[in-house]
Amino acid sequence: MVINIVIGSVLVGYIVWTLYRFFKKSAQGKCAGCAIKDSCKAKCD
Amino acid sequence: MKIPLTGNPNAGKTTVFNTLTGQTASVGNWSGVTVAERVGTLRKKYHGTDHDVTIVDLPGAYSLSPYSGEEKITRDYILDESPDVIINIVDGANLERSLFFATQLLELHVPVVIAINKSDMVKRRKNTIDLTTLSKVLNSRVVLLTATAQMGIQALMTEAIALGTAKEPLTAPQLTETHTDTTRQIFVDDIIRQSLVKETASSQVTLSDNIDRWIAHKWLGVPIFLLIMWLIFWFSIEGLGGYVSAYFNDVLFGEMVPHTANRLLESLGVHPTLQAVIVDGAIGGVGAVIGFLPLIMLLFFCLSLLEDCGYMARVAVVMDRFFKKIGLSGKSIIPMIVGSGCSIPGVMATRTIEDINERRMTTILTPFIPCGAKLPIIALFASVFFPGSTWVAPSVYMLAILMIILGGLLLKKIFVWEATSPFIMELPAYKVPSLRHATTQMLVKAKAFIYKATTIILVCNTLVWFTQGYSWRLTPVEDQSLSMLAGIGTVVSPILIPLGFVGWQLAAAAITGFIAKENVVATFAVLVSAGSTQALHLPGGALNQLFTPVTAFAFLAFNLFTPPCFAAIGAMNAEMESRSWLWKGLAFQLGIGYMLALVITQVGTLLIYGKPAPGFIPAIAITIFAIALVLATIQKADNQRNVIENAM
Repeated sequence: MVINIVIGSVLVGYIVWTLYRFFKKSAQGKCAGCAIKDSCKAKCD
Repeated sequence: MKIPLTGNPNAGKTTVFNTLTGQTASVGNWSGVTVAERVGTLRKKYHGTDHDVTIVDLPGAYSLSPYSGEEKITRDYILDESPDVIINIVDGANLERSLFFATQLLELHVPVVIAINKSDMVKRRKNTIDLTTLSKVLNSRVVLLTATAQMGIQALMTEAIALGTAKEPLTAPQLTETHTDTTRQIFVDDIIRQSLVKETASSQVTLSDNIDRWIAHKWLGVPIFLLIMWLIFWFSIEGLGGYVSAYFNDVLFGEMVPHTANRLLESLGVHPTLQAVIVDGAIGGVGAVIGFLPLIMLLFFCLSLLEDCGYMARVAVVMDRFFKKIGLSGKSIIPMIVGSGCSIPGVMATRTIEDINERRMTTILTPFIPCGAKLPIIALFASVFFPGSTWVAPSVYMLAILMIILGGLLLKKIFVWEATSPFIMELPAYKVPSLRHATTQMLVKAKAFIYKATTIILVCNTLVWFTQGYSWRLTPVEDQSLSMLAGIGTVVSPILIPLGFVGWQLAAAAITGFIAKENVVATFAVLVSAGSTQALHLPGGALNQLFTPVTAFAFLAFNLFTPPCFAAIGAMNAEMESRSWLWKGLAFQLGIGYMLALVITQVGTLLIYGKPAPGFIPAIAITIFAIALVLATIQKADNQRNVIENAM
């Protein structure tokens, strides 16, 4: 029972956090949402 | 201490920057790769002092009088940011042109170290640079460098830090009283005469020249480009890449990982529903995408080799002739090649285009080039519907180029544009590509792919699994068609029927694809694993219940040419500099993707199967409406053009 609550909570927390980060970064446009921003030179800050 | 790296485009600044800072910034053997400054901290092994040294990689510039946007960035940084010392990277193979900019820097009263890069190429051409004379004439520190082999880096930094610490610029060399471009070039020519001993005359035909006679040939250039791309795609998608990917899909993510995860979760006493969410939803979806990682890595490895050897610069020149006809120039090719990795930097690379109209057109057309995220869709559909065929992946890229040209022609007609800017590109000499560089680029792209798969793709597929297994009342459903996802898909699916896409599953995959294109594959993986025992990626597998080979190719085209993911749309918004143009661009992409899929399905089905596809009548009505809309828009644009012409 406890393990189900723990795993379920982690899963839901991860989903909410990831979606929040994704849409926030996408809305910023440019580098924030870019997959290869660490190596890309077409960067902006 | 702030040390910017300056120099002409393709002098090797980013290679030096990567060595000095340990970063893996993208480098390319062509001009225009760097379009904004990048900052890094000097690695400890290169400075023997306690200074904090910041290295700034600036875009290439030919002079301090900027012609392009990125040259302006360089000039503004040098003039406004008060650097302690400037390292000017000079291309040793093009000393005549590089020293023009160097002499301008020396007059700024900022300490400058001249680093003559590509010394290996100078040696290969049997030329000699007299460093003592050059240093004396320029009254500056001069260091010889081979950045790709990391030779001369330590000496360069010792000189730069010493000069930066002293903060005393050496006196600039005296030109004539009037500093015009002509007098400066005469001065530079005189320096060259004194310091460069050439055993190879400039007029002598080099190996690069000989190769270019074929590679950049007016008529042969395009077929050679197509052949090279076909070989690369065949090798990475159908050949070795496909072979390794099949192992990943069949064994690793088909058996080993799910079985291990199931055993582990069972031993922990996890509830079967939660177990299914994790194994079938999260792991199943992510596994379906990561299964294609080997072919993506191989493709980027090959493309990096092509860039590094100098071929991609030739492609831009070869394509310039065709692009001019649609109102673009070869400069638009660079964002498109960059966009093959990820559409976002591709869109952002459009800022090197000065003309706003050309930039907007390129921004709209760049996402047509299949990015890394679209590769799993191509690979999945190729393996399921066209097993053993070597033409699918290359044909998709050829289709992308064709749609860029046709799309460009259409954009030119339906919107009012001004004249395009001329295209000038310096062709770098061919060189043996660096395996190390290609490997680094490949690993960077792989890391980004894995990161995306384990974040947004994983989450989306967990949600897809949940919504396909539960009703709106949050009760489990036996029949998927009663689920939440089916409800959402059913609302959208009528729009897709004229394209031959029948079924809520296809609509659901298309919707999740707008969040991230990899989701298309992952969504199918989750839906199939929950509703069928057949494998997703095998010929004759579960996808055959949803598609014919014709509609499968149409679905591929639909996903490739309709608007890119959310993040790329954000980048488009930034580069378009106009919300109205963003909407026009998205409507154009949606229209192109939709109509292309419609034509492929309806014409293809009629020709191959001899009968109309589902939605044939609505498809005819939509086609007539689309043609009428385009003609009316062209008429409106023509009227606007006439008004502008009459007013002039």
